[in-house]
Amino acid sequence: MKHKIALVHGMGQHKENWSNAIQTQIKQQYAELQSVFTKDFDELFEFVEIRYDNVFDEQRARWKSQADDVLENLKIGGISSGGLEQIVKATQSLGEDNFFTTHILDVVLYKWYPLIAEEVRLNVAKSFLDIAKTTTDWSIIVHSLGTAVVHDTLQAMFTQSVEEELLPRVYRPSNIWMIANVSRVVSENQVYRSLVKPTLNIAYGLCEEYFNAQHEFDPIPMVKPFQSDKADAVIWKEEAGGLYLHLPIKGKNTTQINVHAFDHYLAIPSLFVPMMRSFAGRNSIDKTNLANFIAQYESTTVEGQAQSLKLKLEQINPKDMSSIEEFLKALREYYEFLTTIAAD
Amino acid sequence: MKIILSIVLIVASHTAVSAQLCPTEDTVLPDVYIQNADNLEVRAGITISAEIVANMVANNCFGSQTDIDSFTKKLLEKLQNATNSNDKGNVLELKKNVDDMLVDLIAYAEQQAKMTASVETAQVWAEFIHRLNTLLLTRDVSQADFTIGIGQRDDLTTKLISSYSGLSVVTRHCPESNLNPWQGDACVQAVKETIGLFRGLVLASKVIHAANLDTLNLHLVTIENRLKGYKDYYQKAEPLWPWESLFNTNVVTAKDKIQQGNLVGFREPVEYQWLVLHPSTALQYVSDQETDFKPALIVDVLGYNKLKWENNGSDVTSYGASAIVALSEFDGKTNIGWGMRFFYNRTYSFGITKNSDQVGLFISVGALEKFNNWNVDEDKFLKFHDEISTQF
Repeated sequence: MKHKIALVHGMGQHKENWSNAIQTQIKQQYAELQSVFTKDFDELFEFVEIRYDNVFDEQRARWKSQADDVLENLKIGGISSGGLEQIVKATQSLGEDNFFTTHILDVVLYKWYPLIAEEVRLNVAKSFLDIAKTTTDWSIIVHSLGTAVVHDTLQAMFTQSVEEELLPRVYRPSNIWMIANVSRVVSENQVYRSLVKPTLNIAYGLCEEYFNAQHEFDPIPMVKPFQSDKADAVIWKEEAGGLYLHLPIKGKNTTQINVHAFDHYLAIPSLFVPMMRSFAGRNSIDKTNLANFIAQYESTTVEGQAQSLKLKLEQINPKDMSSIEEFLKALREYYEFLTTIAAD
Repeated sequence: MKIILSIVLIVASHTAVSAQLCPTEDTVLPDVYIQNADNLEVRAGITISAEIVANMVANNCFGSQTDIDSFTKKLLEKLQNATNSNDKGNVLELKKNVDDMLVDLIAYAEQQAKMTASVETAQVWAEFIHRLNTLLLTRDVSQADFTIGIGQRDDLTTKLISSYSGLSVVTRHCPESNLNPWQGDACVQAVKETIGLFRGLVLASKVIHAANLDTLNLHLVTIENRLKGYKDYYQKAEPLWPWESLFNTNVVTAKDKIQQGNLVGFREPVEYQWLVLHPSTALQYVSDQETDFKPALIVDVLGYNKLKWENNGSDVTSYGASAIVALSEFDGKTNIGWGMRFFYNRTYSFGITKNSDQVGLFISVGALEKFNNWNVDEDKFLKFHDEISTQF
């Protein structure tokens, strides 16, 4: 039984095999750092790709098909319905692929369409149970919107009673890596009061170790950030029993304009090294390889541009740090920023 | 020949191959640890021997397929049988296999406990045996946490007795020398005991995992049924427009159980839908118009659709009615009628509208297709329309 690692995506389009590049990146970085004291990646671990974007895509396709049907028949019948036709056309446009429909709409559907959110969670829960069925040891690496999805799915899975039986917590994941965590702003749940916390005692939490990584320049997890000094956060951390690790990523760790990207986070040594140690043990990394890995990474950072990037991204700085609307605004402005840079 | 050999060597150097990291015999230390001892990062307060044991545990050397231990091999065979029983849905056989394995594990633990020289390790074995016996009697797994380490596997603490550390037991009996870290009888004994303990813990975790597979299956089947239910819902329920889905939010969340601001379990399937300003099209026949069926825009101003779930939430039947407005174009004029629509499993939708003195009958395209397949006589339908018109 290998340690299975579930990879869960964030917002945006993620077709089948979306994780191939991420898997290659992790395996390659592991091999670059690997010491003689650890087995090869494939001997110890196995990736499992988790996908829920299909639920959003299918809903958009259903709305488009519904609108196509109405508009076509209106045309055949020569019927003019004025405003209603415009609304139907707007619904039809949800089937097109653009930043609003593939990114923002993912968040909107998850946050405000509970039936769709539930279908997302059921899909992810099925994947998690398929994993837990075949191994005693599994973990999760999750990005962006996926952090809320994973949180809510685990909470539902382990509180669901079937024929008066709860799912035993021996099937819980070992480590959860939350990257660019947006669970506090997107989830329906009160994440600091849920069961999804790392605990020593199996009775009190749903994982053993909980990591939270947030890049200084990334505006997406900035609204209601997971790490905060609020009273309930302090209680959560105390209950977590010392197995919680917050990884604030400094702005100098920037190698591309899209600082929010999954692969951008995973390339950062101050994130990847503790990740590898958490999975393969502290002696899995060779000292010389580590020095080379860091030097190689630093040679690719945009150090000179980091400051100007920071200034530009700071303009996105959300005013209200607690509202989902402000989160969506930040998301839109971030996309506009990326588009402007790409055009330049 | 030399050239070919060189090529083989170059290819080999680019393919990472793990060194032999696990012992081939209980007390034989693989060379890699001695040859690279200087590179091993040894935590403060422990010796290199303890770090090596921790490293082996992190590399799944004990209680796994690669373990050389004969008890492990036998237990893993039984575990495979248990998993096969579960895959066949034979819960009784699964439970029997699990009971057998628990008995074997208890016997193994008792044997190991007798051989141990360390008081702490003996205490962990005693707790281990106690919990497995309890498990055998009660099947209560709420306290059956045999996982190793606090987060990281190479931590070598156990959750059975929190004060126990395999690292400190080995450290106490093994020398600090890097040359041969497994020196002396006391050290070898401590290493053997610790390895035996962690092997037992890994195996116990696997048995407990198997012990509850029937419950896991129950949850898995429930989720699969819900997902099937979603497929059926999208085929048979009325297709809601974005604004209607928002309007129906309370319908979806009505039965939610909330504790401390958190949802408990998954949501129950919805039992009804509200239709609000719901546009769709249908083929309409209006009396006194010299034309066949023509497309009409039907707007359900307000409608109610009942959903009846069967087969553990995997199948749904839907039926409902709504108050409608129908728009159609005849002879360049827009006709607006009002009336009722009745629908069943989305495909079948029929309605009647009235516009001043005219009565319209309409049928959904899907239903018309079905009727055509059933060779429904159109003349009879028109006769039915005329009869209805006289009563309206």
